[in-house]
Amino acid sequence: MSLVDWTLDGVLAALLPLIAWGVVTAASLDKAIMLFIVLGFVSALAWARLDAIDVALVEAAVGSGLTGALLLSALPAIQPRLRRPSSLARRAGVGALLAGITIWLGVTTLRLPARSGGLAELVCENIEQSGALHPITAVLLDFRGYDTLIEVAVLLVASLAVRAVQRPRLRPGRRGEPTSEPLASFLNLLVPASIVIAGFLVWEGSHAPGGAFQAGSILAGCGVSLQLTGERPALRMTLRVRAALVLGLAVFVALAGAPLLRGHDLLDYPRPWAGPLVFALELALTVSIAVILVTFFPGAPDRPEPPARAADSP
Amino acid sequence: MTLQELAAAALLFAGAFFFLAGAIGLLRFPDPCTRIHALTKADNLGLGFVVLGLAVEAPSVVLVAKLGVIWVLVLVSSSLSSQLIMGRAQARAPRTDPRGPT
Repeated sequence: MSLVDWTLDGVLAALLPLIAWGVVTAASLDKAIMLFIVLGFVSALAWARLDAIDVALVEAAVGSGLTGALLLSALPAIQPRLRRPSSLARRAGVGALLAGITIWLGVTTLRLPARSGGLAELVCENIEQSGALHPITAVLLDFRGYDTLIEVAVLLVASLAVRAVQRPRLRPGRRGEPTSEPLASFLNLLVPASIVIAGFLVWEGSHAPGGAFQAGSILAGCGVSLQLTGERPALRMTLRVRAALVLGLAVFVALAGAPLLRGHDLLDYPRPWAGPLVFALELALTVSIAVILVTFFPGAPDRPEPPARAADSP
Repeated sequence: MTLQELAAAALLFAGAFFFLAGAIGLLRFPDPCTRIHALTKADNLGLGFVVLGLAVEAPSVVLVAKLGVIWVLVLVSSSLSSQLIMGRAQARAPRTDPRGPT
């Protein structure tokens, strides 16, 4: 490793805990959220430095972008309740718990064998058998397809749960402020561009970093910006939206279960068609993941409201 | 050091200079208008020089094109976000800047 690499990694390694500390100790909630978004981007950079491009993409799109937007849109609702700092005992308790988990994780990491290839070799040797050419896609959708199948189900359930607890005042159909001129023209550029990028990522997913989760979160980001800017009202639960929500899981279950009928194992895709099948599955998953993530957003943020909510906080 | 490497290094340093100047400006300038000016300057010129410097060393034309796309995307988003931030800042405190639109 050259001096430049050392410097770069050193700066990243030093920045991460510093920013994390900033998030925890920020004077106000909006500062904390801003720093949290920055933390997401720096950790995405760190993942990219570790050659984990897939993780970096997801971290940037979901961990930083979507979560940041979600936190910012939740800010007006939660801020009035957080005026009072929590008690010292409670803070100490949470701190001790988190410190314990961190130490435990650190010790576990240190006790791992220093250089084990893990399952990487096994995956690369058997990649022919899966429908994908990229190891990560092969693992996600074939070798460990079971995990992904359940993850998609969890996402769907989470989306339903969000709808169940949404406040009536945030129900869909509301529109935010009128969009400013430059913002509107930017969206005209952004929406088609993100659709192309998402399509590219799904296609790339079969042989390079990319895939349904990354593409879905980019599409979702596009949908979220349309909602937050008030260009489009929040999603209504029309038949089409419901179909899009379950499409990914339905296709996955059908593909996973079909081999059972012919006496094979669950998720044992038929050999010659494994490639096209996995790609079709990725497409369906992209649509569903995008729509599910968008449903997490309650629509355009409420504008001037704090006085009404102030009654809650003593 | 070849001429190519020298040119790349010079361009990268120029980019780093604008980023540094932008960061200092963001911290030291007094009001939103001048701060936004410092930030967008870093985005436009700083990143522009960095992209140029990397393009000089890029192994393929495709990579140069990708770098160009990155630059354009950042340009578009930085000019938009500066617009939005300034719009909000002026709506909040219309008389922050005496030279501003009246």
